[in-house]
Amino acid sequence: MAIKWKSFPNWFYHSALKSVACVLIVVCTGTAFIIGSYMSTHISYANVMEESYMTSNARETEMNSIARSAIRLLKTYKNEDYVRSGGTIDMESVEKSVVDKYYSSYYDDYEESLAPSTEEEYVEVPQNAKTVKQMLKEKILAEHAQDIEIMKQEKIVKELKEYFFLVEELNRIEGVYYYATDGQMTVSNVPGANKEFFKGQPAYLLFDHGKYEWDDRLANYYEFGNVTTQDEVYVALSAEQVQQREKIFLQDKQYMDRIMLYIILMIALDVFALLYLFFAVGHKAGDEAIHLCPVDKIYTDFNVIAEIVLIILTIAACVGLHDYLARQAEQIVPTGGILHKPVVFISLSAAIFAGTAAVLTLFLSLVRQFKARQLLSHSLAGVIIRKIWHGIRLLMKKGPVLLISSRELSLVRSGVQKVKDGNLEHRINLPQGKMLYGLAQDINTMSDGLQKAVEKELQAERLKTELITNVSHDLKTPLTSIINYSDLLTREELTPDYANDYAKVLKDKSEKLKQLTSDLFEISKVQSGNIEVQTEALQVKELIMQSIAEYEEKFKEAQLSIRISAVPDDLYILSDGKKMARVLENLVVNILKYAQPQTRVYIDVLAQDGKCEIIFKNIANYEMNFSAAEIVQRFARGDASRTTDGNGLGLAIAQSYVEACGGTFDVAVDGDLFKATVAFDVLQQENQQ
Amino acid sequence: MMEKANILVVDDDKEIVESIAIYLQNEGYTVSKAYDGLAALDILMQQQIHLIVLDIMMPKLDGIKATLKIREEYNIPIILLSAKSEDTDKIIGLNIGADDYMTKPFNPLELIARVRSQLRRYTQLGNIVASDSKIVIGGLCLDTDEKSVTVDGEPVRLTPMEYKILTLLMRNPGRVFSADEIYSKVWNEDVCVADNTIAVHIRRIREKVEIDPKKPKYVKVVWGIGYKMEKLP
Repeated sequence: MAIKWKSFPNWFYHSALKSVACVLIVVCTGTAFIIGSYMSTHISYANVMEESYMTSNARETEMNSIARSAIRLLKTYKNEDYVRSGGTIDMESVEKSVVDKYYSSYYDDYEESLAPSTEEEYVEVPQNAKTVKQMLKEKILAEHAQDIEIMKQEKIVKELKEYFFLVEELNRIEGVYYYATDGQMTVSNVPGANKEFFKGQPAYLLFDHGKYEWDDRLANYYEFGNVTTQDEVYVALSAEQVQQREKIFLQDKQYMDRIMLYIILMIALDVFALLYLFFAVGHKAGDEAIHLCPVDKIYTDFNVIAEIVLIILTIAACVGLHDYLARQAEQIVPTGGILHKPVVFISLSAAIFAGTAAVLTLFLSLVRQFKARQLLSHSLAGVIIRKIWHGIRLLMKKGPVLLISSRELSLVRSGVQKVKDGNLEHRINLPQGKMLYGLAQDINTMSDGLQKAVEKELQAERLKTELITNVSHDLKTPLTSIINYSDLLTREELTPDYANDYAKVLKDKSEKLKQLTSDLFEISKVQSGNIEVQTEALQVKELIMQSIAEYEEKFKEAQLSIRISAVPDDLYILSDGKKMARVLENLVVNILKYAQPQTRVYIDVLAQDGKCEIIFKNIANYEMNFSAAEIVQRFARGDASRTTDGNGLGLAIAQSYVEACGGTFDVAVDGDLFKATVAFDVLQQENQQ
Repeated sequence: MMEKANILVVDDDKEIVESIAIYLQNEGYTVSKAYDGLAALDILMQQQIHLIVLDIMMPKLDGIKATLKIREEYNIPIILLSAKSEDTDKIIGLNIGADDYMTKPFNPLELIARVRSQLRRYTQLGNIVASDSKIVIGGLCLDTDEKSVTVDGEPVRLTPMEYKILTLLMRNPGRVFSADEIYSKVWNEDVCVADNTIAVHIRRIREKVEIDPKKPKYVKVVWGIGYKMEKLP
């Protein structure tokens, strides 16, 4: 609902105007309250709705009050002598108050008198309790008769005072007549009064043996209490008194009318200003927005409660003011204290103004919040309800987590565990509609994907192996023919002569091709993991000797001298003998190919820290412009060595074999020094066969 | 020794069959050719064949099945030829009754040598009279009386040290001797050399008695441990 609050010209929203309205409301309301309080105490008879004193409610009350006073005088006090003789005094209550005054000290004395006695005697005390109480009472009354007498006299004086006050009150005004009798005794301020006298007065109210009579202008009367059919009670006002009261009544009524007019005016002003403020508050000239004040931060429900409290306090201040003014008007001299000083009037008035201002401020704050449509939302209750609602919604959203059964959860958990452990065919079977159904499906999909990927990988691996085998066969078959026929060619006497050289080249290259393909398949097999390793304890010394022995003549041919370091006989490693033989053969062949002639080749064996290192060192016959890492890569060879024989696979195969057997293979290049290191863990003595 | 032995060469690759035939004919053998296993069996039934060179991977009937068929009736030597170079392939081939196994691509001269070796063993098998003085392992025969060694009937010249080492190995076929053991038993001295004397001697023996010293049939290097004589029938 888009209410357009702002539909007035800009001046309407000027803050000065709003301030004026506020002040107006505070002043009007405050003064109305104060005047109201004052009026209610200073106007005796007047009532806005009544025409004359005779028919007014005030006359009823006055006449009734005179009658009651007369009855009280008759029934309670009777006459002066009766009061003086103490007839109105209740002796029992006097005695009781004296006994109460002394009883506890008397009882203490009595107890003390028992104290030294034996225990058996002490036990008897409760049995005699009643008599003890009676005894003490009598004792007090006997010993303090004087006190009783003094108290009685005090009471008599008090009663006399009351008696005289009542008589004075009844007899004060000439023309206020009363007569009351119970058949034996009579009180009256009219000597020789009879019923006719009273009936002759303009205003009267008679009670004659249970029957009421009244003048015809009395609208209503209250029955007298505490009267019997034996009694006669007559009250009346003389014509003079009636006239006087009528005069005051008219004065009051005039005064009252003026005040009422004033109050109505104020209320009208209030209403007008409030209406204005209702529309103007919260807006500023120039924009459509609702502007909130700091006071609007107060929660609306607090605001309402505070307003109610403030209104109650303000009314209380009014009542207080009324009381104060009433006391002033009745000229009852208070016993002292702050209540009779002008400061009371001023502070109570100030409280009324302050209360009004505070209520207005809070009310306007409510209006602003109403306009900002946060009357409900900006209440503490609203905030709490919203929080609770949020909580409930959150619970509805995320709450289901709490509803998952542990069986369901454990199913999913164990399913994931199974897949994790490699059972890729496992599927989590949850009935549709279970909380974790979606999750289980997702996990199943992932397992599917994983299974497919693994199958694909396995298939690829199989294909790779098959490829190696097949290509191997397909390459080897024609190669066999090439080798055979090129060999056959070299055996023929070819013309022209140089054709024999061509045939020789063919034969050499076909041999090289044979070596290359076989190495290539070997390394493919190793690197795709298709290699069987049969490890056993190998004696390092024997291994080296055997390897070197195979190529002893070749070393001589290559003009290389070998230096083998002393190898302990008991140095063993755990490895595959055939593979290691191939590794050492490759290293040796490498040296034979690339070592500079007429240099020394060193084969060192180092055994330390549980590691056995076999190190081959030689001086290269070419410049090694490659890194150590490159050289062991397939086909990687120093550029300069490309032109010479060798296929670049020797070191790669050596590395693959060493690693397949559980060792490490390292190549280092330092200037012209080439160094290859094969390292294995030393096999401890006790582990040998 | 039988002249003009008839050799059957079976391979699905005609050029290979042809080249092998040329080598064998140069050596004076007569050659029959077949290009699959079934054809080979047919020829075998029609002709007198003394040795078969048989490819494994062939159409119709492969070399392994053909070998099994042949062994049902014939005792002639079979040399398997295959592009399969795995140890397991060789083991299967030898176990089902083949006498030798060669992987492609092969050195044709080596094939000739193996053919000759198999033929000798096949034709002279009954002639070798086992006696106390003779140690026979496969085609290898050592006569302690004559102090001579023959391989498939061909005499081999060995140095005294080589002869002693070979005798030690042949007397204990299958047993692995470490270099130190051989040294102390042959030289009758405690080990005092830390060199490759034994290894070199063994290599030289291999070069003399083996067709392919790199892939020895009799004297085997047990790498990192020692040496042994293969146990053969």
